[in-house]
Amino acid sequence: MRYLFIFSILLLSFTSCIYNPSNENFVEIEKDVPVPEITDKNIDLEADTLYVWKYTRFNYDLSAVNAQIHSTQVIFLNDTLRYASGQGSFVVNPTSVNEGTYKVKILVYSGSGTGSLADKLGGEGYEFNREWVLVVEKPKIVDVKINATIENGFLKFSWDKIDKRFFKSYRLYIHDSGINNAMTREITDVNRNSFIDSSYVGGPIALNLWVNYINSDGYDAIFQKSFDYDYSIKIRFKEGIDSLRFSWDKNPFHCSVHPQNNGNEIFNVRSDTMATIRASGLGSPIQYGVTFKPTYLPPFTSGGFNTYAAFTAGIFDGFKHSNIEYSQLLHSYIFKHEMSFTATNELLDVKGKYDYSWDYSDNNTIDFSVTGDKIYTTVNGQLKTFNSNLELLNSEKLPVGEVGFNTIRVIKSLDDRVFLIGTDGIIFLYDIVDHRIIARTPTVYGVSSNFKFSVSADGNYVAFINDKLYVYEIRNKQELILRHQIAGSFYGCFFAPNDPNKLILNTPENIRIFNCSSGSVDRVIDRFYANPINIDPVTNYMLLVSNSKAKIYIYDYESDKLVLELNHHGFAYDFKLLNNLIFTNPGYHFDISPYVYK
Amino acid sequence: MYAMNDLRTLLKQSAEGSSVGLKTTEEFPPYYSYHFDVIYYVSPKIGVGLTSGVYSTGARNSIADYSGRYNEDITAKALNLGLIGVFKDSLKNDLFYGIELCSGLKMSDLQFESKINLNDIDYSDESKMDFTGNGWWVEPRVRFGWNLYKSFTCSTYAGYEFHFRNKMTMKENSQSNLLGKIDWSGFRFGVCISFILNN
Repeated sequence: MRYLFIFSILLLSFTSCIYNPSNENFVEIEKDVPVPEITDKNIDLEADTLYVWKYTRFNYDLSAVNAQIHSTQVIFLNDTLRYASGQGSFVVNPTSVNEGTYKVKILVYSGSGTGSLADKLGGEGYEFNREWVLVVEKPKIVDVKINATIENGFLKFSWDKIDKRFFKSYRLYIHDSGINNAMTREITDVNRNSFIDSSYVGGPIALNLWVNYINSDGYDAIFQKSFDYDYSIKIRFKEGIDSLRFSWDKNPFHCSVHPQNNGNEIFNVRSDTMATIRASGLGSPIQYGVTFKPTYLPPFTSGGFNTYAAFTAGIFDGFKHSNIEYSQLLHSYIFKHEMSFTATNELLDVKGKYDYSWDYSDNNTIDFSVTGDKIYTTVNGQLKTFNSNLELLNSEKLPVGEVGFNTIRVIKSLDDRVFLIGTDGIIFLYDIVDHRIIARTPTVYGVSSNFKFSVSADGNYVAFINDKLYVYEIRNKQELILRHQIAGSFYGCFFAPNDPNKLILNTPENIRIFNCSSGSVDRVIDRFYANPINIDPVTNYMLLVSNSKAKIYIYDYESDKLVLELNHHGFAYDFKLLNNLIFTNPGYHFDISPYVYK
Repeated sequence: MYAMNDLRTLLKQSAEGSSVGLKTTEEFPPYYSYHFDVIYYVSPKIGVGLTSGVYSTGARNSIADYSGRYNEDITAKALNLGLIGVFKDSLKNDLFYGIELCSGLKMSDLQFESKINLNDIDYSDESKMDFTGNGWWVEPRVRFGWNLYKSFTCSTYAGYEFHFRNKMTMKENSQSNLLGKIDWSGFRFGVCISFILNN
């Protein structure tokens, strides 16, 4: 037993002497190594701001020199994404994120790069973090302001720059109505927010700007804005007796200037802002124009921008007429037109007006009552009676159809009851109370012009011209007696308003003053190669108009004095002189008072 | 000396597969073993008895630097119990020699321990796995000794232990076995002090 005890003790003591490994593999490690540099292939580490306008996935693939990246985290919108490597991503979807500014932070955990045990097991390393401002905006364009300026002689369009990431391009559609040119441009550089049109030289131009961009769904979208611009150039006129100067503002664009007179270019013009030509005088408005030709003219365009203005001497009053008379008693001008009968005061303010649809045949008749308080005209075979304000008092159908000739060339009230009616075919006396023809002439064919008809102011004579000159005496308001029948060539005739016995005859050779009482020529006026048109009832000046010389003469025929000479570009019988105003039937008048002595 | 082939293979694989640069620093080196025999001589030259012995060795994979250390240790120990047969004869001058044959049960314990310490972050961790297993051994020896004084003798012996490799079972889970067997086979050398009880 004793030996067994000793055996056990010894055995136990031996079991405590157990082998215990103690050697270590200690490696010398360099602790002081450079901080690893983080690089990435996708997300821009240098940028401060990220922009998102559509579904965007940001990827990153970070690496470090001499160190391993153990993990990364992305913190965005109160959410943290964790990745067990340097690769990761995060998604921003503008449809589920409100517009605004956010922060995105990426944390990077890398090894130390020393190669130590702790480095390998991730117990030693660095934490890097980088933060970006994330701008989320939903692609939209609210407005784009466009303006136009003139720079160095060219028209420049500018518009708001769309400095957004979703921008694609600007597309311009331009239509220049001035030179009839259209063009299209597409600009993909967002910073090129202007365009110079080198061919524009004036007139309306329309710019249609399309901004192409990508919407939040990733599809192409368009914002459209239109802009109209018009650089107009007005023509101004200044006319003297012999010359006309028309001028315009200097065209700020690069161009050559070509003034025109009634469609014909005016050459030898030394100025680019005015042209001076011979005064065209009275008559219908003449169109003057200026063509501006761009220095660079695109093909298939109209050649230039044209600006026009019409001008004629005188003042526009707007009273187109086929006949006009002046009543000294009423101090009133009466205008007869195919569609209206108008009375004005001496200042040409309208006192009254009578409109009708169209007077096809009675386009020359104006007469005043013996007492001067009534005014007469004929419209479509009806004798109209008005007061001084052209209020219709009476309308009487005349039997012109019965006598076979509808065009009434002249009427004359002999006593407000009996009227002399002169048509293309006959002259008759008509009683508007009894509605009967009192007397008539034989049919006279060929009296086709108003200026070949005239009735004396006192109602004693009526004269007309067809193959001959016929002068009838109106006797006692009951008879038409042929007093004179003179063969020859006559262009026209009219009675002197203040000397009713005198008939002014327009012949090819001269002007004759025929005495209806004696049947002889009292005087011949041959100093003018012109048509006598009328005698001003106020001043007694005779108006003569030469078509061939394009001249108007104001002639004091009693003293044989040429008072005034003017140019004209119309037709002789377009003019009439009343109360020192020369009226032209397109609706202008010229006041000769400053130039005459009466 | 210990064969420990399978354990050496496990050790090497662990070091080679390591991502932290483990190296094998100790690989089952020879270590002291302790024996206690009780022999009854049935004749002046023939004896029988009981033999026992305690064996241990170990291995280590290690990596250490300024930042910390990581070691994987294998500690192996075994307890032999068996019978011994002895033939002993005298030589001149109080010298003797003997031929011995032992055999018996070897009870082995194996521990796998991994330990990590990281200094800067004050982190440490360890894990252990214990295995146990029993096997048989046979060991022939020759002995040369010297009768010291009275009943004390001093001898030296040499032999070779044949260990019949046995599997090792996890202590916590008897269903799990170690990949590989433990093998204590190897040469044995020793010095012995004996006390003769029945001289």
